[in-house]
Amino acid sequence: MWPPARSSALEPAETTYLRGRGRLFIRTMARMASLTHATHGELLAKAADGDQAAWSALVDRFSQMVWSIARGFRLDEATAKDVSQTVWLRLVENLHRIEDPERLPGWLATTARREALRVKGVRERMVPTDFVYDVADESPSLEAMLVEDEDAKEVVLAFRTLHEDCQQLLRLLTTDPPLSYEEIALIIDRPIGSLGPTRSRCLERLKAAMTSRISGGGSGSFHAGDDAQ
Amino acid sequence: MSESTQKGEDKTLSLLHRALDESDPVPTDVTDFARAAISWRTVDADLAQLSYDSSEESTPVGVRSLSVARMLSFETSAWAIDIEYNTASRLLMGQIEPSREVAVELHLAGGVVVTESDELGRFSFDGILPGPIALVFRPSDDEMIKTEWTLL
Repeated sequence: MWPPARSSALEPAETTYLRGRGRLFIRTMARMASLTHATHGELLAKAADGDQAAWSALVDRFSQMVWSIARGFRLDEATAKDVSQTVWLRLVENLHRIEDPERLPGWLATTARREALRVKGVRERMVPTDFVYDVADESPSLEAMLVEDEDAKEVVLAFRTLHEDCQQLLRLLTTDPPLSYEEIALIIDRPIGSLGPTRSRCLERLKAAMTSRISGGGSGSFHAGDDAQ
Repeated sequence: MSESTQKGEDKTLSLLHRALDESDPVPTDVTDFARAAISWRTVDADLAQLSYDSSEESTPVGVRSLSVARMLSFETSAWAIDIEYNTASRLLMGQIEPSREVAVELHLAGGVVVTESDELGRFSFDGILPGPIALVFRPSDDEMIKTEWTLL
């Protein structure tokens, strides 16, 4: 009978395929999936033995968080890259020394904070401070070009008009995986109890800035060049 | 706080989260570098910890330091390494104590450069750009000292 009735069983040809290359592929996929769900401790232990896949899984898990912390200190892209690199190199040399693996996010956050503050001190001392901020303030137009979604663009432009303390806190509240309030309080050196109210205030300001942008307020609070004529 | 205010805030925050991820994603070269960083793993190194960093000295308010040299010290229980990095001339000079003639490796994000220290333990590297560095010394076959990665 042709064509044969489709059952849940695989066709002979497909079965052969799975016995060959496909099986390795499936095994690799299964291994990657298991690494995605592995605990920080399991990944650290494997990476400490030089396991590349486990190490890459750690990088994938935390690279956005480390990046957001560096950018939260208003470092330009090149400096934020240097800070990220340093954090990962520091983790490599401390793989055997992380005592409480479940606190790895906190360890990475503390390391990123320390390196960001240190490099900010070193590099801003070399050039007038205003110059550094001018460079940072160029970014809205660049971001505007990169962001396709209109809403997202408006949000980022409004975000850029916020005070830098607000920008930093909101950055720290939007990491993957999320940081705990305890970790955020340590990074910005503020009492933990102040975070909730500050979060509300900053989000309120963000909303106000977005509203004012959308209604074309032109209140003058935006950086020159941000407003469409 | 009312439940609806809380919901409104959460919505604004998740909108911002998505917008920042779209506009400022982790650059690909950062994740590529991070994945490759495992190759810098040195299992047997005695890690020399940063014990002094001149950049952490506070500068009086209103005074802009004219100094472009940064001094750093690293220590293990048996060794001390002092380095000075001049951000203008890109010259990195250093000294290891107890002093000896030994091969000195400078690990950089982009690779490794090697020199020798003199009998006073002094060494120098030219044309070093700002970025993460680590120094590695092998004073004997079974001994390896590495300064912790530090961002210049």
